[in-house]
Amino acid sequence: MEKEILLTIKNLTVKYKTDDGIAEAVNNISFQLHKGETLGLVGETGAGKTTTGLSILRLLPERTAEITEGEIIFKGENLLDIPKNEMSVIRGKQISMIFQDPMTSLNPVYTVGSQIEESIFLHNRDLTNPQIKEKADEMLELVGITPERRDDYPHQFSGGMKQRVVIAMALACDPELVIADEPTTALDVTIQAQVLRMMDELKRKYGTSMIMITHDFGVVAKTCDTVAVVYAGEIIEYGTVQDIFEDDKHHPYTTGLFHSLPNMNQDTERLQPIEGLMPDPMALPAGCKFHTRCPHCFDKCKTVLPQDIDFNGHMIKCHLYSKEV
Amino acid sequence: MTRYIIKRLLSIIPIVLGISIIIFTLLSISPGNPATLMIGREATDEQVAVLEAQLGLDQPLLTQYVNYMTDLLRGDFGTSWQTRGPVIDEIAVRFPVTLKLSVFSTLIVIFFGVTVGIISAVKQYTKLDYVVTTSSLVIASMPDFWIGLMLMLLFALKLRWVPPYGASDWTGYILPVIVLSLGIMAMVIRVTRGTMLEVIRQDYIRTARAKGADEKRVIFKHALKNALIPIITVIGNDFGSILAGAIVVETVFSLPGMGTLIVNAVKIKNIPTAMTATLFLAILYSLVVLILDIIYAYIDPRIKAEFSRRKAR
Repeated sequence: MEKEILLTIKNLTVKYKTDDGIAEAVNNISFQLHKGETLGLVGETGAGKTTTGLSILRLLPERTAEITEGEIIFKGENLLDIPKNEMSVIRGKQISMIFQDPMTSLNPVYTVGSQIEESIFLHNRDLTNPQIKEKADEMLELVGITPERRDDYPHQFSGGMKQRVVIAMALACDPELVIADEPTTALDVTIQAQVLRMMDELKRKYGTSMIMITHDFGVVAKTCDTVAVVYAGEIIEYGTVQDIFEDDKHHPYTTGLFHSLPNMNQDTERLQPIEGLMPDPMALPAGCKFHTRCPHCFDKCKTVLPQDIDFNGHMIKCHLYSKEV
Repeated sequence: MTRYIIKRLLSIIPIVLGISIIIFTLLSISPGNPATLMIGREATDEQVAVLEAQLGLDQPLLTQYVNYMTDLLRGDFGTSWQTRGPVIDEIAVRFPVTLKLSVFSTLIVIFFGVTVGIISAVKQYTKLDYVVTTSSLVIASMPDFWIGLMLMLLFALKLRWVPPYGASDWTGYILPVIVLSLGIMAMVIRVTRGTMLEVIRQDYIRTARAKGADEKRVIFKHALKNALIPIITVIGNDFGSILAGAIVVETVFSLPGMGTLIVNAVKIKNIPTAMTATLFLAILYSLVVLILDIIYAYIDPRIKAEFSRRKAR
């Protein structure tokens, strides 16, 4: 049985206009997300993962960023066609976002309780104050914070606790889609595990779909159903977690990423990093954007943009495989 | 918190001492003999000597200062050498004029300065923003007395809408209040705009938008409260500028306020009046700054936390 599609992104292209030129942050990204599933967007810093996430909520900086092309279809409606002031009805209610840095994503002058209450109040105007308070306390408890701390301010919380508050805020209105932008990057490893486990439990409990933006394959393995590997604003490999972790066919970039991870089962002296840096988004190379760093690069890679090659749903954007099909 | 307030109140004492020493020294070493200035050019040496003895001017400077300060502590605010009446009576008559002037100016500064600053920040890089930033820069660069004279020329002499001087009724206050607030308002606009722009870029503003807060709520609930601290600091400092500006404006418009009182007292070296009036304004300013510091704590919980930590120590 085919699962219901919640979100379809088609040919999304985002450019940032800066004083130094135009940065091509997201180039022609397309993917689908089914109800209840989690999609991982994996890639290096600056690959365009966060920009993709912010585009869905239309939260890109207004003056510099422009979505030049594409559609973001959420439950049959193109979010890019909705008037700007009507997005606030969708934000927080149907789609909500968990941000990367819990230290700065809470407003320092309001209590955590009132910030969670605000999320509830904004989308449930018919509730009375005591009802909102009760629901906020419930949310705090859900993320493992005693409701007695509702009157404390963000500066009185640790990083991990703040991220729990952010998560409570994001989940307060039972959204259908949660975009988690590196939710554990700013936290230390033990807290990371706790927060991830909690997010996973909550996701299962409410049947929430999720887009997990991360650079950490460990997080992907723990939380995702499908994975999209992003490089220089393009999805260069897409597949299920099994495809990405177990299949032996990979985009050379994905292979490189795996080589740069420590492997517990192998006795390796040194990790193998990918040589070079990600290309400057203001001056992307022609052809395959990875060819400057690719160990398998041949002439065609330098001029022709590779197309997706489909191995039963496992898509790889690389000329190496074009002969096989 | 209470302990902090008491500590801050006590810290006004050294401020007052310092200011009193500076003013007393400046007034005493400036050229001119008060006794001669009071009697006039035709004064004989004997008349001068008698008056000097009466006023205590024949005693050493230190004794004069100590006498003045001990009187002050006893609650005797001195006798004006000009009117021969208590200085406190003069202040009682003059202060309401300055108070009206500064309170109205401050209210205008807060209301228009903050509002226009916010609008300018929200509409950054639009025509409106350019008009606001340019005109506020121009206004801030013009001296008070010049704006005062120009407005007086136009509205009082040419159009005859308001009286050119004096405070016989409320219309006399219109121009002085405008002159006093314009320059400071321009500063507040620039600071408000700058702070708001900085706050709007913060992550928690993005969080507020992601929650589904509309733009009005984002600006007034989430951004403004965070931007208030620097804005209030500027307004607090500007209250000092308003008191100082009042001296200029009162002189330009011949208003019978504290400013003209001090200026006239200094002109004829009327030391008790000049001293008491200046100290009065200094204490007033210190109290305003203290009140602002307390307001900070209510706006920003992190500052309040710092107060209570100090208390615990």
